Amino acid sequence: MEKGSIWVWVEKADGKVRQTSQEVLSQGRSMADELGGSLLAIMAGPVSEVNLEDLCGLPDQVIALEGDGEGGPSLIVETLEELIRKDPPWALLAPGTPSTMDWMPRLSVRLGVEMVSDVVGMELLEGGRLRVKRPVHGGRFLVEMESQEGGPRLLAIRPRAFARKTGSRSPRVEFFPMKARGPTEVQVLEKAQREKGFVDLSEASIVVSGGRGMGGPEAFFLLEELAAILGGAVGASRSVVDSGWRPASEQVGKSGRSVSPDLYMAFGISGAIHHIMGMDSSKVVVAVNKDPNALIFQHADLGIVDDVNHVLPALIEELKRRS
Amino acid sequence: MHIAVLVKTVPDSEARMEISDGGRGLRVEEKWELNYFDAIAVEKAVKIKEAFPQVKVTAIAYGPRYVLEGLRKAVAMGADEAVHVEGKEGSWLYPLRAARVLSQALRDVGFHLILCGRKATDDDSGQVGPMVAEFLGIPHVSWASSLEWDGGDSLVAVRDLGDHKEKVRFSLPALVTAHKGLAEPRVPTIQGTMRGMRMQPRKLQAAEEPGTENWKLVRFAEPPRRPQVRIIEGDDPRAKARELLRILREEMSLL
Repeated sequence: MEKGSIWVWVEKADGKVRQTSQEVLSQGRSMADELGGSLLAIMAGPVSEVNLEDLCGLPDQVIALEGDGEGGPSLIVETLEELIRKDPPWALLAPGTPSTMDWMPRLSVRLGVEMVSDVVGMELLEGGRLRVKRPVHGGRFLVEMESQEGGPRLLAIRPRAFARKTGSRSPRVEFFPMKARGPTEVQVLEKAQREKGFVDLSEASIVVSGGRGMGGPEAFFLLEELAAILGGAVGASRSVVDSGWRPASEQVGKSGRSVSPDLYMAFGISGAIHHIMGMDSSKVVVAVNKDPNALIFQHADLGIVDDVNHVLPALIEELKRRS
Repeated sequence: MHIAVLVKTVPDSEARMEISDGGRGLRVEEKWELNYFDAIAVEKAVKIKEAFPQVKVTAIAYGPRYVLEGLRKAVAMGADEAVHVEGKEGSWLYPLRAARVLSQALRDVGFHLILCGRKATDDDSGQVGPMVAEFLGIPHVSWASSLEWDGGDSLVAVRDLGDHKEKVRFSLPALVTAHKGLAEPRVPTIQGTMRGMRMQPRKLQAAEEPGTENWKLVRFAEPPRRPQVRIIEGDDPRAKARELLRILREEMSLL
């Protein structure tokens, strides 16, 4: 085994390496450098459609898993187990997306080592120990864990927890077959493609969310317009989703998605603990609410006490005027 | 048809919590609730049972005494039986251990379909479902926002993965993790609540292997606090919007 080699699982969307994967590659590069090892990127599916420059010059090597499409969880688990048993890495890092969370827990069982989800901080200590940090109880606390000897360290990294960097390496590409041993147990009947220009909630650097205070579903076109101008994603509070104003995929909070954008703007959201649990790790929070006592102001950096239906059109107009 | 539902009991969102033992532990006020996503799983199981009377629903929980709260809720909602796998305090933080113990219990109890939430709202790990499936050697479908069974050999589910949806078909035995949209948890009836209060769970001993974890808990910490909010004063929404954009651009280098 090579000393301290770091593997990173790389995901693609629309033929491009996903931003979350670039973040993980950046963190993987730093770790590999500290350990004096190399960085290996693993990708599934046709590698030819990926621009290797998307890997930001970070990995030393790319392993392209070739086979039937991108494979289901059992296929990925079998292939990775084979690769790991042959030449165990010091750590395997993956972006903490729903797809990763589909296979990594199964790999953890196969290898008999615990994995850590939702990692937001990493630190190498003396003696090659690794200390990681992750939020629990919806971000009300952080828990720090330290790796013990043995087994590759399996880590799923929270989107937007680490900054993207670039390097100047041109990785060599090796191919490895990904073959199903048995019949596929879960058959995909239909895959709805994401729309062009779609910004994933957990990847977005700006999220604009609306709550009850928006007044009704029709007012959300203003949020959509604001999101489009800022290149951000639209989010929603639980009550708005429960009322059928917005789809469940937009829900931010304990029972929805957790987001940590650079800028989170909450319009007409009261700030129930459910909601706070999904957005409190955002870097800058702006709250607009006509109730000066709304709880959201306790979790915001900047606030405007006013009706969102007055502030939103004004914001949009100001932004349009300047661009 | 036997549906086993894995239920975790977590602190209520309003429960007071504080760091204890110099960072080594969390002291939680005794206010518990059935994990939100597990409640969805229970509801779905009960819905299937209501459509097909031959279906039996068993709720299974692992942990110390407080996990009875979640089991009571599951029974109140309509689960036929409850199984309590006794475990130590602190087991909530070790998904691999929980999955090993639960899969052992599932072999005892038997199942055709296993349902559980896609994650628990205490440790937020989202690992136990797929892990249990791997221990049992069965396929799993995660993040299901819809699940249809016509009484035949296969089921159809829709996975809502945030940026896209996927429709899949699979055969039993299998495990499905519940996402929002799969079902809307009911408020139990008074009779149901009484049934929950009276329920006597079957008790199983956990085949725990403590000390095998390759991660050691170091400490709990508070996340960094946000400073006091800065309110942009004024009467004119347009002036306030302009000032907000100025601060975001000039002082915070955003936008």
